[in-house]
Amino acid sequence: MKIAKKLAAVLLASLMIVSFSACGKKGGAVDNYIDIHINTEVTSLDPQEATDGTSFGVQSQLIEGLTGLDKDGNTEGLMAEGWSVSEDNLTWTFNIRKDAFWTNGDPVTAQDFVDAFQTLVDPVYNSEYAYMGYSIMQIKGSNDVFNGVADKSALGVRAVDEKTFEVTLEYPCPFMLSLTCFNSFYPRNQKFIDSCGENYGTSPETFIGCGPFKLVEYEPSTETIVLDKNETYYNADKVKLDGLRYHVIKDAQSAILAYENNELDYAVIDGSLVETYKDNPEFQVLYGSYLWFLSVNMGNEHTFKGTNPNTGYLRNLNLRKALMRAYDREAVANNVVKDGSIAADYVYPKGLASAPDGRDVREYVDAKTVYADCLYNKEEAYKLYEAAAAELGVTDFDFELVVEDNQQAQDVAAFIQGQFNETFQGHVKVHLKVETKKARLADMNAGNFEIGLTRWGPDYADPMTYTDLWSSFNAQVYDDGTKVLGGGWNVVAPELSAEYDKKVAACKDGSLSIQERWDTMMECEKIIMENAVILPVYQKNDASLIKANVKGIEFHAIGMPTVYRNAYIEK
Amino acid sequence: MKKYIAERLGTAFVTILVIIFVLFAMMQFMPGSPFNDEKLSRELIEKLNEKYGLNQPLYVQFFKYVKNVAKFDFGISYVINKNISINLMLKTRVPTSMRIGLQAVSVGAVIGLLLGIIAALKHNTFWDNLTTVISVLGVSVPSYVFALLMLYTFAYRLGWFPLLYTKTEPFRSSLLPTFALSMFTIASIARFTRTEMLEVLDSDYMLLVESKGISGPALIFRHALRNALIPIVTVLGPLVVGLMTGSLVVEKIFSIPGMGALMTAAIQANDYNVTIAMTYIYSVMYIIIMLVVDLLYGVIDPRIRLAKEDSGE
Amino acid sequence: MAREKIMEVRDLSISFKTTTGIVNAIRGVDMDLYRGETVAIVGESGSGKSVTAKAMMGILASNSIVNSGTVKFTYNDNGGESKTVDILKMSKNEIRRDINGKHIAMVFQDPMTSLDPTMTIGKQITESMIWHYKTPKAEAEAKALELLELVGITDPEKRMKNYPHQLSGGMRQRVVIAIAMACDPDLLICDEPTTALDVTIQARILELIKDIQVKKNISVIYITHDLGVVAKVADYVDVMYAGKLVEKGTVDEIFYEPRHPYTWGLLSAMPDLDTRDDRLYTIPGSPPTLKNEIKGDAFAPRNKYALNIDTRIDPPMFKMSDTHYAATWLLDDRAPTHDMPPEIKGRIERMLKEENK
Repeated sequence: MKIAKKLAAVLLASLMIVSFSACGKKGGAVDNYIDIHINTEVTSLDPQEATDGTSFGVQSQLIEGLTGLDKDGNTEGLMAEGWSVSEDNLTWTFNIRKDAFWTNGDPVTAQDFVDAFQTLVDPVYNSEYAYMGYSIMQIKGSNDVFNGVADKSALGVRAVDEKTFEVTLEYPCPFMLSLTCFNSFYPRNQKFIDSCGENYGTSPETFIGCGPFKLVEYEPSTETIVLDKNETYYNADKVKLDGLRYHVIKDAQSAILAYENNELDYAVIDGSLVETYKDNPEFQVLYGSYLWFLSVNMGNEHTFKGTNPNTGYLRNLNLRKALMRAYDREAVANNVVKDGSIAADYVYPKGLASAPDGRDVREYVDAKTVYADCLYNKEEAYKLYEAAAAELGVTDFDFELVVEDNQQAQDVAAFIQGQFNETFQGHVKVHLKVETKKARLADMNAGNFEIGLTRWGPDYADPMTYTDLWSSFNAQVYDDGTKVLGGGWNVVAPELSAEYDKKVAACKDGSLSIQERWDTMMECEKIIMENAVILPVYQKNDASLIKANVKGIEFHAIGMPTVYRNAYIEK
Repeated sequence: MKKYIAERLGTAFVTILVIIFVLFAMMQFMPGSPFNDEKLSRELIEKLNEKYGLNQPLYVQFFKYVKNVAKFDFGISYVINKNISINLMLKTRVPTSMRIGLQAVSVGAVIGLLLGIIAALKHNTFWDNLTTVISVLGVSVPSYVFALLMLYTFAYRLGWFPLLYTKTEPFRSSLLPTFALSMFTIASIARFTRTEMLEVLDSDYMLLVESKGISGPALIFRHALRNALIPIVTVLGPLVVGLMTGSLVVEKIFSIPGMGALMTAAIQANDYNVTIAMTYIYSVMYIIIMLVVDLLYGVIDPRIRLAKEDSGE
Repeated sequence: MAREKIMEVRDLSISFKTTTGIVNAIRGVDMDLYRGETVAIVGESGSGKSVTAKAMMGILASNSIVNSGTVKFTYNDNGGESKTVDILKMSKNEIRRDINGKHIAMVFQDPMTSLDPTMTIGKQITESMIWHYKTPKAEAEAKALELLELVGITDPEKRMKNYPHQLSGGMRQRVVIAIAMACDPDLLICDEPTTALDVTIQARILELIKDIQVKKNISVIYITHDLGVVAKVADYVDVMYAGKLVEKGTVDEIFYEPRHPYTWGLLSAMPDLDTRDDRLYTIPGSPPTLKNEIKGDAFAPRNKYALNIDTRIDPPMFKMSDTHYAATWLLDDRAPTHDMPPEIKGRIERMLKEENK
C-alpha cells in the first residue's frame, strides 16, 4: 500500500507537470466565492467547545470576538468598538458596537460575552479549553468556578449595561487584547442556543453568528460547508465576497487536482508535493502552528522500570548540550520534513509575536548569533560529549526516544537517531519507541520516558505561551511522585529554575513595562536554550497554494485564524 | 425454514454482543483516553472522563452501551464532532456509503458476470484473454491507483465528471468512485464466473439441454448462469459488505463523507462511541447480508432450500 | 413394408485438436438407420462410437474438425413433407432449431449429472415443447404428465414439482427419457443409458426404451460397450474399433456368426455364467492412440490371427450377406482359413441352446 501510494504520487506529480501548459481554466465555478481546502472536518461550531484549528477557522468567519487582528497583525476592535483598562490593570471594560447584530436580528450584548466567559470555565459544561479562562487570562474567581467551589455567577465578568462588558482579572494580563481574539472568548447567544437544545451547531437553522459571513450549508462532519455574505454584519458593505466554500479533502493528491482544476482557490499541500510546487508563484508558506522539540527527562529516577540511570545521565548539562548540537536542524527541515517547515534554533517560533519595536521575535533575537553555542556543530558536540563522559565516568550511552506513530514524526526521529550515531561515533545511541500519540502523551505525562519527540502550539500571540511551559505554572507530577517543571529541570538546576519562575511571575503581574516584560521573556528563552532544557528541532509551517487572482486574504501566523472579510477575487 | 431463520438471527445476535464486548474490552486496554491533546492537564482529562461516564466500572459502561446500542442509540461523539449525536453524524454518511457501495456492487456484479460469461463462452480466444488481463489488473492494482487515475483522466483531463463528490450532484459525482470501487468486484466476479461457467458448460446437464435444442440466452442464463451463480453468490456476499460499509481509500480520494472515513477517524481519535457505533453497524450489515446470501442460496439452489425445509419442518 | 431410411452416414471422418496434437477420432465411417429399427454401436472407449453419435446430434465439441463425410437425416418437417438434410452442413443454430430435441433426442450415460439441478422436473420436460412449438404451458404440462406416466413414474403430479436431487438414479433416467420424448423425435440416441445404473434397474430401463420405441415407432441408436445390452435391444449391430467400423450385421449375425477377430474378442469378454474359465477374457493390449497415422489394420497389434498384410494395408469390408460385413483380411480368399476360437464357439452354442429353450 505504501509503495503503491508513493508510486501514485510520483505518477501524479509527473502528469501534473506535463499538464501545466496544457490546461486552461475549466471546471470550477467562476463566481464570487472563495473555495477553501481544509483537510480535516470541522469538529464543532461551538466556540467554547472547539479545540482544533479547522473549527476555529470556520467559526471566525461566522462569529467575531471582542477584538481581532488587522492585516498587519495588530489587534483591532471587532465586536468591541472601544475598551479601557483600570489603573491596576485588572479590570477591562469593553464597549460593544451598537450596530452589532446576530443573524436572527438580536443585538450582540454584553450579556452574550458574560455567558461565553462563564460557559468556558463552567465545570458542568467542561470545555477542553477552560484553562484559557482560568490559567491564561486568569479571570477573577475562575479557579473556584472551575473547581466547583463557587457558582459560575461568581466569575469576574459582568454586563454593566446592554453594551458594556466588564472583565476583572486575578493578575494583570499584558496580552489581554490578543487573548480576546481567541475563539474561546467569542460571544454566545445563550437564548438561541438554549432553544436549539442538543441540536445547537448541527445545521444552518440551529446555528447563530454575528460575523461577516453566515452559515448556509452545514451538517456534522460534512464535506462541504457553504457560507454566504452576512447582510446584517455591521461592516457588510466592506465585504466584497459573496461567500466562502470550505471543502474537506483529506487526500493531498485529490486536493491538488481540484486546485489545478480551479475547483479550489486555496489548497493546503503536504510534504510530498512541496518539491513539485515550491517554485510556483502561487506557492506560499504560512508560519505556523507547532514547535517540535526533544524533551529530555531529568526529573524522576524511578520509572516504572525501576531505577533508570539514563534519566540520571540526562541531568548532565554537557551531555544535553552535546545532544543539542549533534543534529542538523536545517537538514531535518529541508531534507526530511520538506513541507515549508524551518529549522528551529530557538524556543519562540518565528511569527509568534512582535516586539514592542514592531520587529518579529526572531528578528529581535537572532538565534544564529545569540544562541551560537547551541547551533549544530559536530566537532563541538563531540567535545561536549567527551566532557560529559569524563564527568559521568561513562563512555557509551543508549537512550530510548519515544515518538508517535505518524510518518513525519518517525522520519524525523529516525534522522536524529542517525545523526547522533554519526556525530558521537557510536558512543551515544538512541533507539526509537514508536507509540500512538495518546500513548506517548500518557507516557510523557507520567514521566515514563527518557527522550521524547513532542510539540507545542501556541494558545495566544505572546511568547509567554511558551515561556510558561517551564515555569511552576506548568508543574507536572510524575508517577513516582516527583514534582517536575519542564522535563524536570527544577531537579537539575533548582536555583536557576526558581529564578526563572520569578521572571515569569514578573511578566504576569503587571509590574514590568512592556519593554521590560518583553526583554524578560527573551532572557527566559536564553535560559532554556543555554541549559538545554529542551532540544528544539523544527518549526512546522504550512505550505499552500493560493490562486493569483485571489487577493486580500489576511493570514496570521501562530494559531490565529485566516481572515477573509477583506478578501476579494480579481476579475 | 422459520426455525432456520430464527436460529440464524439468534446466532447473529450473540455474534454482535460478542463483537461489541471484544471491541469494548480492546478499547479499554488501549492506553490513553479520547482526550489526547498536549494542552489537556491530567485533572481536565479526569473531569472529561467523569463527564462522559468513562470513569465508571467497566461492566457498568458495557451494559449501558449494550442497552443503548440495542435501541440504535449510539450516544454522542466525544472527539470527532464534539457532543453531537452519532445518529446525526450517521444520518447522511450511512446512506451515502451504502448507495455508492450498492452502485459499485451492481456495476461490479453485472460487468463481472458479463465478462466472465463472455470469457467462458469464448474460451481461449482474445476475449477470454482480455478478461483474464482485466481480472489480474483489477485484483492486483490497488484501488488507490485506480481512483487517482480515473480522477486524473475522467475528471481532470476530460472533465466528464466532477472531481470530487458533491451533494449537489450526488449521482454524477458518485460515478467515478463507483467504478473505482467496483474494479475489484468486477475482477473477482469475472474470474470466478469464468471458472464456474466453464465447469457448468462442460457438465452433462448442459449437454442434455443443448440436445433438447435450447440455445442462445435461454441456454446461458436459464441454465448455465443459474448453476454457476450458486458459488458466485458466496463470494459476492463479503464483497457487498466490503463495498457498502465504505472504502477508506476511495472515500478519501473523492472526498466522500461516508462510513469508511468516519470509522478510521473514530479509531484514530479513540472516539469510543463512534467506533462502537460503526462496528455495530458493520456487524449488523454483515450479518444481514450473510443471511440474505444464505436465503438467496436457497432461491437459486433447490437442494439447499429443500434440505432446509426438510430439516426445518 | 419398405424400410424408410432416416439416417445415412457416409465416409465420416472427424479429428480433434488437443494440446498434444491432432487426434483422428473417426476415420471413414458408413452407417445406415431405418425407421423403427434399433442399431447398437459397440466398441471400447475411444473407439469413436460416442463421437459418431454426437456428430449425428450436432453437439460435437468446439475443438473438433470434420474432415469429410455426410450425415444425412430424413425427417418430416412441420408441413409433413419429407426432408433430408446433411447435419454436417448445417449451422449450430439450425441444428438446435430444427433437429435437436425435435427430431433427434438423446439419453445420456449418467442420469445423476444429466439433469439441471436448479430446475423442476416438470419444467425440464416442458421446456423443449415450449421452446420448439410454443406449446401453451398448460398443454405442455399435460403432455409432460403423460410422458412421466409413459416412462413409468408413479405420482407424476408430485414429481413434476420435484427437483432432480429428490429422485433416485433410475427415476432420473426415466425423466431423461421423458425429456427426450417430449417433442416426439424420430430418432433417439442412447449413449450408454444403463451403465451408471444398478443392474436391477438396467433391464427395466431397456425395456422401457424398447416399449416406447414400439409405441412411437421411432428409431433408436444405442451406444454401448456392453454386448449384454446389445443382445437385448438391438436389431443391427455396428462394431467400431479405432474410429472405424470393423463389422456390421444383424444382431444374430454378430452374435452367432462373428467374423472379425475384434468381435470375437468382445464376445469372449462378455461375462457368462457358464464360462468355465476362472478369469474373464480380456483382449490383450490397448487401443491405439489415434494421434499418428495408422498403417494397415489398426487392430493388428492385438490380433493373434494377424496376417502380414494387416500391417501394411487396411482391409476392405468383406460382404458375407446383404446385412453382414466385416473388415478383416481373414475373409480374403487368399487368407488361411481360421475357425472361430473354440471358446467362442462353445459360448455361441450355449447361447443358441438358451435361445431354443
